[in-house]
Amino acid sequence: MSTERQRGRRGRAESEPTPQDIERAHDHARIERRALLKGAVGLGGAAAAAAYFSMAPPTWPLSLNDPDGERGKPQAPIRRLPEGGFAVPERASVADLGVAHGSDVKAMVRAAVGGIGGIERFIEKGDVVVIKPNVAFERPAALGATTNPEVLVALIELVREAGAAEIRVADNPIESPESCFARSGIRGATLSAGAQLYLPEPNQFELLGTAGATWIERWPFFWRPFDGATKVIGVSPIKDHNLCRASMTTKNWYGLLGGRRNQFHQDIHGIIADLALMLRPTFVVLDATRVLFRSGPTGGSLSDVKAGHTIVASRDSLAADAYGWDHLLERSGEALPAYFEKAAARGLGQPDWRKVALNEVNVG
Amino acid sequence: MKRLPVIQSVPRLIPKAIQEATQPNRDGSPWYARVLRITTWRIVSQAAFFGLFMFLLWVSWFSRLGGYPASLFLELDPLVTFATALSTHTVYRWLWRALWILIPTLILGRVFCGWICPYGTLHQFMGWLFNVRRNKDNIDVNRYRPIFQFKYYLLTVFLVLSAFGALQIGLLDPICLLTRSVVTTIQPAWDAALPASLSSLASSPGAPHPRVFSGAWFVGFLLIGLVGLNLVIPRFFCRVLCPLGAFLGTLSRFALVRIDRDLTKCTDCNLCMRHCEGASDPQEALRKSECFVCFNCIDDCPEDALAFRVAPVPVHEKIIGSLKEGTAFLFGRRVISQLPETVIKPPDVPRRRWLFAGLAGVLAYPFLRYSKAVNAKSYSAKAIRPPGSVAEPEFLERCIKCDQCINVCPTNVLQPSTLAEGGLEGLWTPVMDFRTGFCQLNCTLCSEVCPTGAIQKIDLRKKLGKAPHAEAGPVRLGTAFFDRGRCLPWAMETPCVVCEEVCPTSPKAIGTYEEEITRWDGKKVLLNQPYMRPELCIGCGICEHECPVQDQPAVYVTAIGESRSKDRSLLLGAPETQKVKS
Amino acid sequence: MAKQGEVAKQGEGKKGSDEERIFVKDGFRSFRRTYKLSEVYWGAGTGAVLLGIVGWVTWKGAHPDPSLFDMSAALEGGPPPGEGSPPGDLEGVDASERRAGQRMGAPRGSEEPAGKGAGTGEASAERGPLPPGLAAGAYREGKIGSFSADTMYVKINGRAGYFQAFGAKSLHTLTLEGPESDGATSSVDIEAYDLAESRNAIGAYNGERAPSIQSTAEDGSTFHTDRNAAFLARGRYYIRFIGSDESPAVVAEVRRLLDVFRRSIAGEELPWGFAFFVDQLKLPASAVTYVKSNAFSFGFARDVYKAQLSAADSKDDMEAFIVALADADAAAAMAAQYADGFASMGKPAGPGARGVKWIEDEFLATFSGASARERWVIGVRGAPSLERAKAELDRLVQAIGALPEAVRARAVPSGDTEEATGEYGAAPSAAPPVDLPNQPEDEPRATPPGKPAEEGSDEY
Repeated sequence: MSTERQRGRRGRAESEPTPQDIERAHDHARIERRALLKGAVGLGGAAAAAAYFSMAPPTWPLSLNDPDGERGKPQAPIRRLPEGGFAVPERASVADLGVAHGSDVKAMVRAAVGGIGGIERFIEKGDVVVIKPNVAFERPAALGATTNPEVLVALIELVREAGAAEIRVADNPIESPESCFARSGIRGATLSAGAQLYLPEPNQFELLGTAGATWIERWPFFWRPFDGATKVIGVSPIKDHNLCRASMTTKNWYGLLGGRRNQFHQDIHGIIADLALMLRPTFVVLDATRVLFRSGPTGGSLSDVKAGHTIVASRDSLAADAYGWDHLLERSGEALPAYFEKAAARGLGQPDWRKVALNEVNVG
Repeated sequence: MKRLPVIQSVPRLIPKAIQEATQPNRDGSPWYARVLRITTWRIVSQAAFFGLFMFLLWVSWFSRLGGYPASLFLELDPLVTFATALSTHTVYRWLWRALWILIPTLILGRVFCGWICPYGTLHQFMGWLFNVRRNKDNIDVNRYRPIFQFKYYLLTVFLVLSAFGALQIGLLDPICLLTRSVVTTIQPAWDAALPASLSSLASSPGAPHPRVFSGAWFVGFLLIGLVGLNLVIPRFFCRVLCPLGAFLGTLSRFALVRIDRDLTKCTDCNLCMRHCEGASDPQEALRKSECFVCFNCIDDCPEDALAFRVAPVPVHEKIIGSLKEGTAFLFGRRVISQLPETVIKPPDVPRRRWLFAGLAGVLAYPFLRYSKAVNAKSYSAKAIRPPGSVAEPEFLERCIKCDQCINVCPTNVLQPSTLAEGGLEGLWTPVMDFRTGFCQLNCTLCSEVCPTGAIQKIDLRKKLGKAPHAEAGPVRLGTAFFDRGRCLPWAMETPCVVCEEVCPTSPKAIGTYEEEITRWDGKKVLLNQPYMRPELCIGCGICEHECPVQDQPAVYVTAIGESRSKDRSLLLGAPETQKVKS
Repeated sequence: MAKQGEVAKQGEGKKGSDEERIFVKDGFRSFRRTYKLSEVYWGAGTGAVLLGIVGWVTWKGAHPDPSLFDMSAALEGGPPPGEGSPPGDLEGVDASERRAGQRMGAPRGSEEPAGKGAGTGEASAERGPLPPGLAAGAYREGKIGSFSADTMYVKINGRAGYFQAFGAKSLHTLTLEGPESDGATSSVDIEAYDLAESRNAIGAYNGERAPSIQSTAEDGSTFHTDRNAAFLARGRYYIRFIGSDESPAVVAEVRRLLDVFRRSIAGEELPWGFAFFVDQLKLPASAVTYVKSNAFSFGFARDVYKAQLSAADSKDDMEAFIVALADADAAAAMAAQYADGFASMGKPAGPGARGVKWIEDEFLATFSGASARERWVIGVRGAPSLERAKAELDRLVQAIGALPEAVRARAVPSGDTEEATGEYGAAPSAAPPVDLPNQPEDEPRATPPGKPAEEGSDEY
């Protein structure tokens, strides 16, 4: 271009540009203008987009504006368990507390559940059932610190006969989960009975909302096995416990909490009452084939365990716990631990088991 | 030719490739002589051993271990055996398996480096994958350089230190280094990357928290750095730094079988150095101590001049005639090559330098040992060793910092020690950090996988102090102490007693006093105030782990009172007789 | 693969173009022109070795070392804590029983305020054989201690081994505190051992009694008093009463307590060995005793009833003994063992009737021998002359023949197969375990009068 102008000047010194020159100059200007316009539009678009993302009101779509920092805070979704928990309705003619004595574990489990209306009352065809045993410690089953694997197998078979589509066994132990499940025999029992085993993994905990709870209104919870579950059964052993006096079916749900749950010992009875509020099970089984009557909840010596020869099945955890307190831990002379009163005040159970319809059988 | 995108071109190219591969060779030999030539088998072997190595590390987990020889590679490592034999005067347990590598090395040379070593495979693969050089540069970069002597100095320093009782080979031994790197950096990364449905493939499944390892950043940095150096010089680590390579190289000087160059065929084209892994000068006098027996030179020689022969005759003196004038003859055939040297060159380390290295090793021992961190006077209180460990000076004679124990520990309590905790001597040795985990009562996995006996193999009876070990009592790792100024029931009028609840011994090593108080706000509360029963405490650390005062726990374990060392006993009476009658 | 088959074009493209490619050029290309089959064979050999290694590793994986998963050690309990774990919650327990005063290291479960035991009515587990309401007159009940077999040592130190040898199940202790006199409080210590069977109780009692002291055996109690102490074996319990001094008040209290226990503890029929020696051989009951294990210092000698045949004041030490076994073969084998045992202590003194090998002790010049009769082993030990020994053995044989059916039925071997001698079959360890700090007084107030009998000491 400059050569053209130069040529033009050399050709006719100081004369007017020819019309062709002018047209050529206009063409050039148009071309440049086009490039300029393209660039300008691009730039303008980018600038407008940037302005939109950063300044548009937060409610507008695709806006990233965060005037007060609230949007930037981590927002974890809150999960909720079904309304009313997993409980089945009460039936006037059917007992709510079933006790079976004997030595054949399978027969005892069936008799106890039969005493409260049979498994069909609770489990329907196609249910996704979560069974929550106590696998808190890496102890052999004989030391009474964990659920008896034979009871678990009997329960899984019973639930399967009722037509459950999926049976999930889950717990979040205090000690290393793999070792706890393996050494307590629960892993072997679950797999041999054909149920699914859920070990806790870091990304399987979600925040659970429990309305009305004192301490765990929002707390990390082992959510994965409960995703899509329709019925929940708790199976816990019966153990002495220095802090809360006894650990039975109501405290069993502690094993589903995640996060820094070791803080709750500062109000142990309050948290147990909260657990009863958090999870209302379909029914609970109090596994009293072995009773850890002292040095609980870890046990560690066979001399801390005695045979209980009993299985209790109940719709009402407090009633089952009270029965265990009186008859199996043999502490009927002492007052019940405080959590009974707190949970009963919330209408979560009947702490006086004598007022609950009871069905007691001996199966030899 | 326009290249199709990979997805579309693969279905067409695979049958084409197969057809090309199964053509008979130009020299008339069948196609499988080329497809299954010796370098193919070498690659298969390298891949198989690498896979086996990763598998054995993956399987070091409570639920998978079964009877697998999880520390097999460490036991096969001849340097580990030799150095620990120097420092402890014994060959522990399975370490004799190193003979399976030593004997082939004495016969064939450094086949370990070329066929077996997983770290070498990693370097070789990375160097091959990211190689951007053309032929001439490949040849140049594979020439022998004097810096390759450095590994011999390192070896000398390490062996002298071992003879004095400070075992430091684990810092740079390739198997130890790779095990440590995989355990602390690669396995956690793999676990984190797995989607939830594949979580059973994780190296440490079933744990509610992802595993963490102290100093992993440095180990990872070292790994990437050393592997990255392959872009500068191929197999940099193997040639310059590897003490095991130096050890095997020294031994393979006397190997019976070596690469032999036929002077009557060799045209000095130097193509044999194109992919020579060991930079061992096959184009002139072979440096047998550098040769990895990778057979790449045989693969690249267009004249068939190289072969792997038993005790080839040194031919230099047998040449008749003059090379320069082109009238040289050897055994009746004309000599073509201008480089008549075929005699093996020993490790090219001047004698004076060996001496220097030895002297450095002798000095290094007091420099390391008297730098306070590992002495009885001032051992780190938080350097708590795994159960079954031998006492501290012996521990440093045995620990090769392989971190297999850290790999197998189910609760993540074992961590590689940092410089602050153990000095350089204790770097990367296992110590317990009770904030990340605790020692499970019925677990003895670390003692099972330790290859050198730094953690002696103990069975559960010995760990728990049951018959027939009741006289000695349980294995104690340390003792727990209460910091009453931080404990909730003692100092803050708040009930708690998680420590007592989780204490695994029976009877519990933590007892409680009950006290009912009226708090500042008028509430009556029953406090269970914990106290320690030191004769029952085994130092497992679950109390410290569960204590809610997490920033600085109100109950903490320190190394005093550990049963492995008389120096560190706490209560009266030697640890062996301190027991509760059972 | 897209990169396969691309041949290098020499001289084409800049050096930089090679660096543009992601995958390496000429990855698999080599320059050799000839190939050898021998390489394939060697390679296949190494391939086979690789497969072998993989197979070996797999096989090892499937065959784990069983000790790695052996949990039996975890099931062997340690010593259980003492009885009575503390209540956790304050509600329901009288606030006046706070334990703040006991905080300095009291071993868990050993001492509890007696008031609690009496108040809540759960007396039996904590008091054992101690009857309620022992305090009378000027004496008040102090603390009750209850210990199991494994924690007994806390109270009685090295003597625990002796009682464990007799199968002790538990120990209950009580101190009755009396009035002050001359600035010192008097008291009586009671130790009540539950030895599970009456024969054990009698054996333990006799083991501690010096032979010079006569015991009284009447209506199911065997007892004696000695200055400020009294000792009672009744039913399955062995009770010791030791007063703090020999003042008349204390001695009277000791006697009173002895009577109280004789009335309150359930008596049992004397063991069958007594029926044998007392009814058949007309020996006084105080001469008969039972040794649970290690009789005559023989490791195999267990479950032995023996009786002093010599009078208490003679210098002879002749004893007869009888052991019941399951059947005649077992008896014959056991008799042979006794024979060997005696033989090790002397030289043969000549055969006797019924194949008995009599042995003369090389130091004491006494004669001993054993013989099997039906399913019993009977024998005589320490006889001053061979004729006496043979005569006594004849009497024993006749006594067995005359044994009534009821006694025969009761004469069964004791069920324990393990030797309850303390740790793992050995004699109890000589070294006392470490004392826990800040023990409340744990020595008996006065040593029992007279040393434990010589025989008592070598029988446990």
